[in-house]
Amino acid sequence: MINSDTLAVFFDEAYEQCDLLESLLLTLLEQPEQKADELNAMFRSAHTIKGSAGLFALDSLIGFAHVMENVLDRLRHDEIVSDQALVDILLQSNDHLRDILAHYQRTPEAPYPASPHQDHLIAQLEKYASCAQATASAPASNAEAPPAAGGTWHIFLRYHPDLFRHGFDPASFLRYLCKIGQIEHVNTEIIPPPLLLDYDPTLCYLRHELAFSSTASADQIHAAFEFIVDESEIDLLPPASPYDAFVALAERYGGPAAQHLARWQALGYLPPAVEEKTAPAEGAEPAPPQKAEKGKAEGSRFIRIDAAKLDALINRVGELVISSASSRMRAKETGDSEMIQAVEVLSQLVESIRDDALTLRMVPISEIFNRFPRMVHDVSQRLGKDIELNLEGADTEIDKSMVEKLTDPLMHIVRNAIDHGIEDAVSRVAQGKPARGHLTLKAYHDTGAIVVDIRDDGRGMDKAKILAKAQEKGLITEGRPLSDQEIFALIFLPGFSTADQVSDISGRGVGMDVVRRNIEALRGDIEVISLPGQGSTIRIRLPLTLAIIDGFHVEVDNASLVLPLDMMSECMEMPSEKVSSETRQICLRDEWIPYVSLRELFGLPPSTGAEYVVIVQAGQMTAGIIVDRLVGDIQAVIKPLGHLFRSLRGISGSTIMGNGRLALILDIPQLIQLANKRERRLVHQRHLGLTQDGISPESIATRTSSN
Amino acid sequence: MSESSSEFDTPLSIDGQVATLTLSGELTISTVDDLKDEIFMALNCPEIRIDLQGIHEIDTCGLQLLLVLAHQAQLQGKQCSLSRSSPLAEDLLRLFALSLPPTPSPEVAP
Repeated sequence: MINSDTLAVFFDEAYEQCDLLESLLLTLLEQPEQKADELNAMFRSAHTIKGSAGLFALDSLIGFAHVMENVLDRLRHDEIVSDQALVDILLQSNDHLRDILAHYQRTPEAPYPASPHQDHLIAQLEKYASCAQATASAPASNAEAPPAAGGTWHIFLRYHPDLFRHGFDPASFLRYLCKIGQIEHVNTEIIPPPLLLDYDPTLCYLRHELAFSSTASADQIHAAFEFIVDESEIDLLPPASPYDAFVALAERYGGPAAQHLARWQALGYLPPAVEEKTAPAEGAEPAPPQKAEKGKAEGSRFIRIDAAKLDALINRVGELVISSASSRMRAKETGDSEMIQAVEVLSQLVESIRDDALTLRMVPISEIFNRFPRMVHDVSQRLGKDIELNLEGADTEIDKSMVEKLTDPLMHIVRNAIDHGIEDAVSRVAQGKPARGHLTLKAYHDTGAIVVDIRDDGRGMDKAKILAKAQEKGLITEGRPLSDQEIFALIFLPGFSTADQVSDISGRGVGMDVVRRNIEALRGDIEVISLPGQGSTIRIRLPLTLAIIDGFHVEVDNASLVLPLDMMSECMEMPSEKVSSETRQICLRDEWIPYVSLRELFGLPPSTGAEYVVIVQAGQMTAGIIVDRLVGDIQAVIKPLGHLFRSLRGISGSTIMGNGRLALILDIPQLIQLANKRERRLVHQRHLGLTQDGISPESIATRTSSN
Repeated sequence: MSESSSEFDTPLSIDGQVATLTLSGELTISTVDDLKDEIFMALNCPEIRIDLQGIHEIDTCGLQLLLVLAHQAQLQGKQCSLSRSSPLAEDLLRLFALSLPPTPSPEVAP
């Protein structure tokens, strides 16, 4: 009965609605001067979840979403005002919705087991959903409304034209209603097309308006229409709905509102028009209209595609890029200029298709960022800290496949920052900082990479403490002085945790080493910038995409190597002077930078001919890579290396070139790191040697630290 | 000119000014498409009588067809009435608080 594909789409959408609802709730918390749009959007989210759950008969979900929907409905009609307590309950309820979703995802057939937690939430929600209804009966001077326990509902059914075709019959809804109450009055309208020619007998041209008296709950009445609620327009006005509710309904009914009102007046549906509008917080007004509006997705601009299809497309484009490179090479060999030109045009087109295909996979990083306001809210509340979260560059795009893998590391870092980084208000004030802590998540593009900064204005990292800890754990041996960079890098070692006190927020055994592993699995790297007392920044750099790069083709001993073009800053012939082979440094415009000779790295004999230097850059660090030959630009479709080559230094993947030969892709950040580390060591050794020889170290050119 | 008694193959029989629709069997979403043309043919006569006695299944979609016919007849200033009803149709009409006027008592056409 349940189609697993549609069900999967349903879950996807439902989770999205939960996310949306959550972010809206958090905005509500920030700016309590609620905007109508947002309140409506919140209602729609809950409503959509309920509506689609109805299609799959996920009863527990329908039930719970319905209770939420009622509260949100009151909220958007200004019948209740939002406060911290309400938002918290709604946030918890939203979490509970996700739990129920997760439950159904595992076992779609089994109902969600009742739990005290759920009962508690429902009780809380219903307090908000019904507070007005309870008091409404007291001052009932209303002409036609019987007391609140039971009463006359007004039900407005505008059926979808395809109702009959979808196997529904309005008679069955009415018969169901007869079972749970009494239909006092039915107004059946038939609105056939003006021309008989256009009349299609299998379409539904009916409309029903009912006065229905019942003691049934709103749930039960809603249940009558749960299967058509998405397509048809169903409006329920509970007993003693105010005149305004009818007016509002008439306005969205279609056609002249006055006409509808006149008709309802004639049918005796309308309460007296004069009703004092009292303060909504007091709940003096009767219950709101329970509008079940058409869950029209505002996302009609988007289409959903199976991720596998997209991957297949990207793969195909990858092959296209390779074979286009190959034809380009063959064309060049023929020397036929027209042919070359034609192939050139073709490969340009292929390139743009490649770019287009890649952007298909890109999603704004807000997909990740949006989970943080909630988390920061919860965690800081639990720790009793007042923290403001800023999100910058949330529209920076990131490869979809990275989203999931990046979320956990980010969560961990943020949790750490709140727990260990930012101090509590008292000690902040004592240090002369604002009591409110600031946490910033910022995403931006930088030299072909996506950078995500997690910056806090907390106490910063204590170098002495990190060092002491590392020594205590035996992670480093004493003797060699470490740069700041190296000290901070220690926190990423397995088995390192500086927290004096392990709280339930961070320090759950998942250390920063796992974070680093996750980031490295994405071909990214992570660094720490921290100033004592001023806060820390954790910087994560990620490649733009995992699939295809613009590369630069070089050769070493006839082997082809590719380095990412956007990390290159320049290339030149290997200078014969201004090279310190002892410290592996070359002088570039009066600055000494470290270099790595690939021949040396790969254990090849030293070159006999001319050599070239490619200057590469990653973040703040620069290094030279010495190669035999510069070949030129190339498009590289990255194929990951097998497990066998995991531990290979300096290589991040492989690619097939136009001539069908294999080229290895250089892992530039790793090489740069290697070069910088070795530089420091060599320079240090040189120092010692020179001092022993009685030569002043200042007389030689050195760069003692990477910056 | 055929007689006004029921004919199973075609529901419509026309006798002078009077068109009689004798419906039988199923009047539901599965039959309305086939019945539609025949039924609207009745609009060629100034008076239409509907005989529902023979039906043993009717749904809202089927009823809607009759309602559209009645609506159209009214627009064109023609008379449309129910000569013989059926309990099933009556139930449905009652549920929707609708009625089709019964054919005036003299059973014989003027």
